Amino acid sequence: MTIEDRLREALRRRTGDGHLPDGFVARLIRDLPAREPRRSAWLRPARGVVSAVTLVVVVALLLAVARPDLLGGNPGPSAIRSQEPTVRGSAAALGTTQIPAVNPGAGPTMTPGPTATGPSSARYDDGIPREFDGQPVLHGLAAVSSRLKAVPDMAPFLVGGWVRVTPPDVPMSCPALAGTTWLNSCRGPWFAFLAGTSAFPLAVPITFHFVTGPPSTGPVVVKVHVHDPRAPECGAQAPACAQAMVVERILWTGDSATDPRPLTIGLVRQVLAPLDPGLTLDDDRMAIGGCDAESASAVSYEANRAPASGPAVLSVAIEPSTVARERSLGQAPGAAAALASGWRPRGPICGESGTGAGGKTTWVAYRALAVANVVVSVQTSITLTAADQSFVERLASGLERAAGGG
Amino acid sequence: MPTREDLVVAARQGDEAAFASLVEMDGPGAMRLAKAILTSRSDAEDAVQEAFFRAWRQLPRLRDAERWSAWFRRIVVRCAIDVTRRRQRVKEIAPTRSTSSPIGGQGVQAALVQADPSAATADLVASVADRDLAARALASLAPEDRALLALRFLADLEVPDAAAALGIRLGTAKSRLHRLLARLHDEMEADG
Repeated sequence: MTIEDRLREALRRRTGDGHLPDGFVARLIRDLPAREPRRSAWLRPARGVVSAVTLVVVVALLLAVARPDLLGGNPGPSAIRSQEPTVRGSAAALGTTQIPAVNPGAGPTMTPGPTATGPSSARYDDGIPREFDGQPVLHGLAAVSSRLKAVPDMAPFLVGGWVRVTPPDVPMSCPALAGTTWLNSCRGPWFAFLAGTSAFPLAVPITFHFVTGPPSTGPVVVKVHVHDPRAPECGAQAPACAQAMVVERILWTGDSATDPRPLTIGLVRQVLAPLDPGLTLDDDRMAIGGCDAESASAVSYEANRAPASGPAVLSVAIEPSTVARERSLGQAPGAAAALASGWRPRGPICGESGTGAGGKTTWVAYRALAVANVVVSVQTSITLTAADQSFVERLASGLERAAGGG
Repeated sequence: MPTREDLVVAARQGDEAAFASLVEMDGPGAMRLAKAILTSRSDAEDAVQEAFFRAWRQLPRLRDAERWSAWFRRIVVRCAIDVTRRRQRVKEIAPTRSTSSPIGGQGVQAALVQADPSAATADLVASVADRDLAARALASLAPEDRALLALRFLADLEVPDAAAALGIRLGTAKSRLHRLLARLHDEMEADG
């Protein structure tokens, strides 16, 4: 009997006939959740118009950038912004809401901003600009909460943070949310104010639902408003929708100040190559937890091969800064901390698993090694061996040298 | 009798009776898939229930009714893995080292033979232990790996379809499958 046949048999035994529990279907139908509200009737026919208008606007802005003389004017703010080497995406190319174009009267009043200057050079510790186009960028829940209490109106304001986008073909889970509205449509993206903080569960009432150009994973500065006129569409959750920050437009998506530092995935790969020649690291689209940092700003890479019996790297999570990594994993950096005993949160061990069978079962521990802005998940024996110790020490030493520019 | 596509179209328009028929039609398959990924029946039931809830909410976005099976399978896998993730979070919050190591064949035999040392019982236990080698090897895997094996060998999907259901690249699925089979082969050979 082949291994495949034995697996098929084991799986069939494990799963049985799939019999549903008594009353399962009736209970499920009784408890079916509400569906997302469909778009308003007035909005549907207008979608084509919106697309056409958007296309015209984009073409006009591109022309303004490339050939301002064709439009008979001096380079405008968009052109100035696009020439700034630090801005990765011009505002015109990034997401905007549909509502102002379709029904300007229903949307929030746009406050004329000062001359466009892009992001300020003054930054928060995770690289988010403190100002954009001369307007303050609120960063952190406390700052936003203060703003909402002080000015509870529809005037838009700017918020900086980190988004984590789940691929559209991967359904999201939000079982804790009651009902489904445009505020909690289960699609993300997930948002965190500070790099290194968790974006799960959705703790911040902010939605990108009406942004036509979806954001990418990474840092953002967005223009938001509260008291959205569409809040009544949320039915029983209208008060929550009214309080939510609705993203009107994505203004900025990062620059060199938000690139990971001091360690990049390239440097980490260089350190790992001599230690584990067979190791390759893939982007981890699933972003399963384990020892990985689960913050919105972490980029995770997964080892694309079976863990060896000895010490091995399982995954790498890279935060944009050491401060962000410290927020994400407040563990002391270096080999000594990684080799210490004990479970998280105080110890480095975040998991265990047993492989093999019978009396030959081998247990391994998953340890977190923190160096600068990086967390490496390392598999070791439960009782550390000399090989484990040497592997972790050499890995830590290599990463520390790379982080120090050595 | 309405086809599955007919039911999907009707359910998409809000017909709860049609959706109930879909649950009856595809529930057992979903339950088998969830039980292959998860370790407890109650977890599997939670995952399947959540998968149907999610499918109901998102059904209006499924334009092609013929894609229902693949679409719903992906949701089931995702929900099952989400359940394991939540369990893992609970474990990390209350970190106590698990003492429930996988029960080995020798351990099972020893325990049962000690309880009833008759020769007939010992033979039966030996047979069960031998048959369960693959089951125990499966139980030692990560849920994502069990999901891949279940999609390939229980649902009999081709590797590209299994990769799509898991939301991973084809190359990743192939390499994972290769090393999983090699690992399981080694483990079963060592035990068998």
